[in-house]
Amino acid sequence: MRSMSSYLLSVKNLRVSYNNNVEVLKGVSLNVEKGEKVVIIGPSGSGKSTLLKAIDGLVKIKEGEIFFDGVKVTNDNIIKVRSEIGFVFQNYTLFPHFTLLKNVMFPLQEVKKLSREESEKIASEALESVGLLEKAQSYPFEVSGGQRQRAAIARALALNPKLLLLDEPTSALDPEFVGEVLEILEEIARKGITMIVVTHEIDFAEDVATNVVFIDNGEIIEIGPPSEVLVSPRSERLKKFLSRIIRKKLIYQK
Amino acid sequence: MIDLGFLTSIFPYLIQGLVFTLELSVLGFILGFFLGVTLAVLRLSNDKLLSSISSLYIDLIRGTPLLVQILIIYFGLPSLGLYFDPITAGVLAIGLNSAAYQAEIIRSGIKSIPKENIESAQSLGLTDFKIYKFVVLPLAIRNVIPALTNELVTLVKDSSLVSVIGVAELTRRGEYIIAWTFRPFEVYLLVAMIYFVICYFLSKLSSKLEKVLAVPGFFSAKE
Repeated sequence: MRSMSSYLLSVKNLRVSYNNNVEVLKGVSLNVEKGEKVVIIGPSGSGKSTLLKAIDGLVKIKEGEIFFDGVKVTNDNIIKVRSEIGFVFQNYTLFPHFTLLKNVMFPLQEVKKLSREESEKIASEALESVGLLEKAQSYPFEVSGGQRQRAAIARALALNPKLLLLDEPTSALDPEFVGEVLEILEEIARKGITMIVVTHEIDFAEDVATNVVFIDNGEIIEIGPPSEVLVSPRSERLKKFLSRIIRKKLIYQK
Repeated sequence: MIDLGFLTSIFPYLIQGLVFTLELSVLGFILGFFLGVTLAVLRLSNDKLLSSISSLYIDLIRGTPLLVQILIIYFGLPSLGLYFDPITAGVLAIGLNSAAYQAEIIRSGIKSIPKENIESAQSLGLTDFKIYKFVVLPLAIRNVIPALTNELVTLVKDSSLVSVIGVAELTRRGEYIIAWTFRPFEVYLLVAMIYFVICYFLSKLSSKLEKVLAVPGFFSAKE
C-alpha cells in the first residue's frame, strides 16, 4: 500500500500504551521529508523514546499508522524497514561480546548478506570515518563511552540507512565525551542524511535541526524550525522546559 | 582400620563404573542443555500457548522426583511399547529432568541482558532466530556458566539414582563390592572420594571457561 505523500516518514495519529492502560503516546502525527533533521525535545517520560521505538517497530502500536518510504509499516515488512533505518541508543547499542570491527561487520554480513571481505572493508572505512580504526580490535567495554557511541554511529552508517534514529546519544556519557559525539553527528548531518534525534542538547538542536519537535505528556505541543520553537516558544510548557534546561546549562558552565 | 591394599584392589573396578557415571551425567547434561535452551526460548516467547506448554513441562519435572522419572521411563514406558536399555533410559531421564532446571537457569540469563542490547539487535533488521543465535544466547550463557556448572555437578551425583535400573555405575559397583566383602565404610568412603574429585575438577574447569569467555571489560569473572 503506497501513501499519497512524498514524505520519507509519515506517522499518523500514533497511540502507544504500556500495560494496556498507561498511554505514553496520545495520538502523535509527524511528517519527515528526505534530508530533514528533526530534533525531539521534551521532559523525561514524555514519550520521546517511545516515539522513536515505535517508528522502528520496537514497541506495540495501539492505534495509528506509520509509512516509511511510501509503504505502510506492518509486521510483515518490519524486518526490511528496520534494515533501512539506523538506530543508536543511549547505551548498549553495541554488542559487548564483539570487537568494534565485528560489531560493524556483523549486520553487513547477516543483514545485508555481504561477503566477509567486503564487510570488513566497509566496516574499517566506517570506523576510520569516526576516528576509531586503531580501536577496531577492542571490545566495547574496553573503550570510553564516547568512543562506544561513535562506533555505534559508525555501525548504523555503514548500513547506509535511509533514516537515522538517535535516542539521547549523549545522555549516558560523561560530560568530557559529549563534544566528540556531537561533532560526529553534526558532520553526518551536513552530509544530508535524514535523521531524528532525541536530545537535551539545545545548542545541537539550534545548529543542526531543520525542525524541532517538543513533546510533553505523550503529545506534540510545538513543532517548527528552531528559530521559532527554541527562540519564541508559544506554550507555557515549552517556556518552562527551556528555562529549566538553560538554567541547568548555566549552572554547569560555571 | 582403612586397608590401602584393599582400596587399591577395588579401585579399577570402581573406575569402570565412573565411566558410566560420566556417560550418564555428561550426555544427560548435553541433552538437557539443548532442550533447556528450547524451553527457555519458548517460555519467553509471546505465543501464550508455547509459553504455557514450556511452563507446564518445567513445573511437572521439577515437581516430581528424578527417581520416579527414571522408573517411569525404564519400567513404565514399555507398557506403551517403548523399550530402552538401562543406559539410554538413564540418559533420557537425566536429560529430560535437567532440561527443566537448565531452562530456568538460561531464562534468568536471558533476563539479565540489557533490554537495549536486544532492541539494538532487532533494530538492525535481524530475524528472531539470528538475534537468539548471535546475541541473546551467547550473552545469556556467559552469564550463567556458574549456575550451569552447579547443575552439571548435581547431575554427576544424581546419576547414582540410575543404579536402581541396574546400570553398574560408580555407586552400584560400590554396593556390589560391599555385598562381596562386607566393608561398607571403606568402600563408600572411596566412592565418595571419587565423586568429590570429579566434581572438584568440573568446578575448576568451569572457572577457567568463565574467564576465557568473559566479555572483555564487562561481566568479567572475579579472580
